[in-house]
Amino acid sequence: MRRNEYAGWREVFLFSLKQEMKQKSFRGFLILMCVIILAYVPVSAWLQQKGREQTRATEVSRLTVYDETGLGIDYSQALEGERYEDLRVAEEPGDGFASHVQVLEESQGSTEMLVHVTYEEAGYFNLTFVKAATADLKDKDCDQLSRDFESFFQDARIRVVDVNQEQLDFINQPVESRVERTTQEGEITPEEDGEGISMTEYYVLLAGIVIVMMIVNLSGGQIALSIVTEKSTKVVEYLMINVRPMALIVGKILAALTTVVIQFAAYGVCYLLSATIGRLVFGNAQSGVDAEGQSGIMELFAHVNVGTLLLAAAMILVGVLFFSIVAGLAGASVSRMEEMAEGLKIYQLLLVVGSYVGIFLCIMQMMGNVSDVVVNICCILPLSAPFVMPANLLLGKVGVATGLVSLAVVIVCTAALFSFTARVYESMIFYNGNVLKLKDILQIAKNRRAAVQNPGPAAPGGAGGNLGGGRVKPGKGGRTS
Amino acid sequence: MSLEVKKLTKKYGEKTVVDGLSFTLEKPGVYALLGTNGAGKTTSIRMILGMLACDSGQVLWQGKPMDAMHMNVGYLAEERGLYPKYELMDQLLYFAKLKGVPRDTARERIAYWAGRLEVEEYLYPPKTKGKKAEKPKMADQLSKGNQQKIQLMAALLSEPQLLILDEPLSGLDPVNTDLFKGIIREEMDKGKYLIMSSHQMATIEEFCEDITILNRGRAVLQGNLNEIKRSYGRVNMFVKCDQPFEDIIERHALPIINDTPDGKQLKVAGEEQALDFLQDLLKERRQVVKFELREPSLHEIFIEKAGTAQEEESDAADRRKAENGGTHEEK
Repeated sequence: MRRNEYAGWREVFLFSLKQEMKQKSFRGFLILMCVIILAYVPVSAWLQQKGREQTRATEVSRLTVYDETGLGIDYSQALEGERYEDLRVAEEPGDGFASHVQVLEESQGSTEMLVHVTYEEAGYFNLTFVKAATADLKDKDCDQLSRDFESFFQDARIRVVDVNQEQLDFINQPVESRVERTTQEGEITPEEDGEGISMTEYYVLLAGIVIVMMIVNLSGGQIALSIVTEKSTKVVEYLMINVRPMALIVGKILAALTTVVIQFAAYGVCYLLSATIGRLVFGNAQSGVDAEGQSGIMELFAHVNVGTLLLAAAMILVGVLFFSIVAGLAGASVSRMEEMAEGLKIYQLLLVVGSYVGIFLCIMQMMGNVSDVVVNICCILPLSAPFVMPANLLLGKVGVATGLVSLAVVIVCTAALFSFTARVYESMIFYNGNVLKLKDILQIAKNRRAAVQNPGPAAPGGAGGNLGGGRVKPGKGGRTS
Repeated sequence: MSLEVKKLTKKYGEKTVVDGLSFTLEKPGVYALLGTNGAGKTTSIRMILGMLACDSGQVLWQGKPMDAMHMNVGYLAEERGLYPKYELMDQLLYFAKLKGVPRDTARERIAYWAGRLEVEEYLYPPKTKGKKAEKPKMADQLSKGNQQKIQLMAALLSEPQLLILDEPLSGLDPVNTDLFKGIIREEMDKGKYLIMSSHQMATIEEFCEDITILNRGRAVLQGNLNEIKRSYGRVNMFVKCDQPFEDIIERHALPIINDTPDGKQLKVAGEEQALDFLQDLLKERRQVVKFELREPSLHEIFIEKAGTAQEEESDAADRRKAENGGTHEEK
């Protein structure tokens, strides 16, 4: 590749970037997203606060308990705390429940609730809560009350057999079970494939895939649209006497990447601002950045250091470059704007395959049905690597060595794709006709190779148009180079 | 000798779209590339500009292989293109920058050409006092003619040594046609080299000394326009009389080329036959309103050459068809 093949990329880059920034749709979307992100933390904190305020005090004024279990539970201590400060809990003999229900039915707007505690023959305790049909009580309030009462009942029914608080806490400890296997040496080792990732890790992996997919989609779409516009409006005719095709595509790709980086940087800054505003106005607990949550997230990213961060960022960058080149090729295969969707099928297919592999892997990781080998393979495959590798690396699911191999593979594939593009793009950019299929593009590459290897008579064109053409190289007697 | 085109050939598959085209521009002026639709004019221009690889042949500029990227060439494409949704000023500055024109110089030249081509209002939206300034115009807000003017501006911004105009006057109204012609004349006066392709033969006759007529990729006529015309002789006779004179035409066995209310166009073998015809008209006391004897126009030469070549092609195809027993279509 000669250097002058790329002369003029800077002008193309600056022009493309400026025009993209000036687009109303771009600015509108950017502003909208920034406003949403800026408002996110304060608004959600405000809603949480409002929700807490609303549920702080129950609207239920009295709870009458009809216990027919005969356990002898003392319900006077049930439902304590700030929420139930104004609530009066009363206990009545069980047989009065039906008549009290009758009274409640006839009452207008009573805020009293009844609970009927029974032991069923089928072998379980049953708590039936009743409120008046005309009662102005919120379902959420009643549900919370029933849950709190149930929690009290769970402890109380054990306490009646003289279990103290310490013993009760011990009984209530969670139970965890796992299957382990013995080695040939007789040692017990944990089952490798059985442990799935946590929900938080699952969300982090999924978010990683979605973010990369958004970046790829935004930049790829922008490049393809720009190329198709230049081809369909014939601007390319004018450009081609001033700038080489490769400079054109390089300038566009870099402009698209810069646009996406600017977008995401703006979103990041907005989120930081949003979190700061949320913390200042509502405090840590309400703004969703409480110490417990922070430490939990920090634990997830315990493996992160500057090296892994750079590796993940490099992978995203190279991955976006890879898909941008595919988008550029797909755009050049189209001559008319209305055929763009058809021309972009290959690009979209590759994008879908790559991201779906990532999503599928993510689900399998959560279910614990996937081995490290499969994760490593998905991180190395060039189509899925940009979606899978960064988040898995940051979570410590794959090692730095795998990350490096993955990056190297994607770089090699991107370089090969770029070299292929350099061979066919010149011919494709002038092609005017139906959408070029993959076999047509391969035919162009074949013709160009034949022309380079045998610079005598030119290789004939391919399918139905100027598929073997290209630029005259000075000093070569006008032969196809 | 500044531009030399040597045996340019271009094939698409089995089809030869340009077949050994050669011509030279020895001195500044306008060179015409003529041809029917699909004759290979635009392909030839693209090869000259290096946009398209030729299968064989060479283009030399001042004796060296021409590289449009490293010389100052202006190009007005037949299929004109501007970014529909970008501001015109941005586009012109971009095109100028690609040509290496400094920004300030580009702005000065844009201002000059905007005035010259009467498109200032689109590039410099007027500001009305007390009102919000109008937004700069996008290409898709302009008429086709005005878009063409912007394209011509883009071609001229770098003050090119060689200017290639592919159908520059197509789609223009008479006022703008005159405006474009004036600019072409100015460029000629500045000593520029121009290659122009057009279907408007009158315009070509107005500007060009040398021409090439292409038909199906081949040059069917080339040379100095005046010499070409002279070689045909004064064989076109235009006659209009107050009385009918068909009997005299019949007597002289002259073919009628055209019959209009403005008179009849007749084909004569030479000046002597024309004078005999005139003498007969006068002898028989026909009131002659108009009598003109002149060389064939470029239009007529073009029709004859392009038409003949097409007929020859058609005959050859028929022959091939007959040889193949009429079973194969011409490919």
